[in-house]
Amino acid sequence: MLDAVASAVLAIPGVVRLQPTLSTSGPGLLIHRNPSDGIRFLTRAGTAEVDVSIATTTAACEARGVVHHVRATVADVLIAHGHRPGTIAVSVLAVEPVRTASNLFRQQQPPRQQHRPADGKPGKSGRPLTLSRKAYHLG
Amino acid sequence: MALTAASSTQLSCGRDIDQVWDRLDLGPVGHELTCPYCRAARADLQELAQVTRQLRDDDANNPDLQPGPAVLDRILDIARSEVRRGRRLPLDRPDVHGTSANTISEQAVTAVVRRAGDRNAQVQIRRCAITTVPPAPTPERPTSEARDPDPAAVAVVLRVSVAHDLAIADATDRLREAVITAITQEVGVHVSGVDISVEDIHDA
Repeated sequence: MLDAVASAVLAIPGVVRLQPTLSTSGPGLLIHRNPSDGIRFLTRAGTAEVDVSIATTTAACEARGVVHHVRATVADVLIAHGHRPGTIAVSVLAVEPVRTASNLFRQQQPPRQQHRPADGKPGKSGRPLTLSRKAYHLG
Repeated sequence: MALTAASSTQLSCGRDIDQVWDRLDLGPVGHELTCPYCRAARADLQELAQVTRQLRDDDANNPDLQPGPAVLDRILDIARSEVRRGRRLPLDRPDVHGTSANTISEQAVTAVVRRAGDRNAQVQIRRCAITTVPPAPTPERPTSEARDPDPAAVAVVLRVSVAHDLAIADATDRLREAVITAITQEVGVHVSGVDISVEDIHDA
């Protein structure tokens, strides 16, 4: 059953992979990976409740559209296996960019010096560039 | 225990065995006091629970089954990655209970925003915060009118540094437009606002 749901979800355009979490994989994840890690399936009072955690890409459509497609697909699989669909919850844990030439080029560039302080502390390598002490709120 | 042919979990008295299981740790009340099917199911499930407890205790005390350092490291890795993902933000307009079954991690939305900012090399996003916006009340719809839920809405707060030779107002306008476009196209939720604070200037 879980494998059928996993195969159907992975076949949906825009789904990159199932994303295992502690709640959707359980202790088995700590020993070895299963193809259905990222899916939690529970039957309660005759209905099937499913949690799916996924990573999506923007190649097909936006994450919300992919999620609705996943919900409909999981419901179809449940019905095909004789279950009554209950709550089907889908979580997007990562949205990955489309692999275009410009994206790949950008990824191959050395990281820009960001001077991005962590928690307000100055970076180790960044020289002091704070020219304005005051933040100008333009929003 | 007697189960009906109609459902593998329904007892002959019509109750579901899950209902008996849910109340197993409590004493029988009402129907369960007199129903022979429920009483038999309760006795069987108590035996199952007892055996399960015994097996669990045996495993917990078996030195061969204690987790090694690698397993503990893996648990901590997964726990850290779950913390990094942050809150789950609704993708659809929350229902009357304030919940949405479809969610996206705060980290995923933040990554979309940062990628949009990184396309302009002269603006550096330092901090990014995403908040959900409570839905505005909408007129009642007829119950017969089935339609997809509306998208949720988020607000974005950015703290950035801009190159010293940029016109700040133009740069923030372009960044705001890029963030709205990226979230709309890649996530699919509404963006109610993008507040940008320029907190620093850097060399181009």
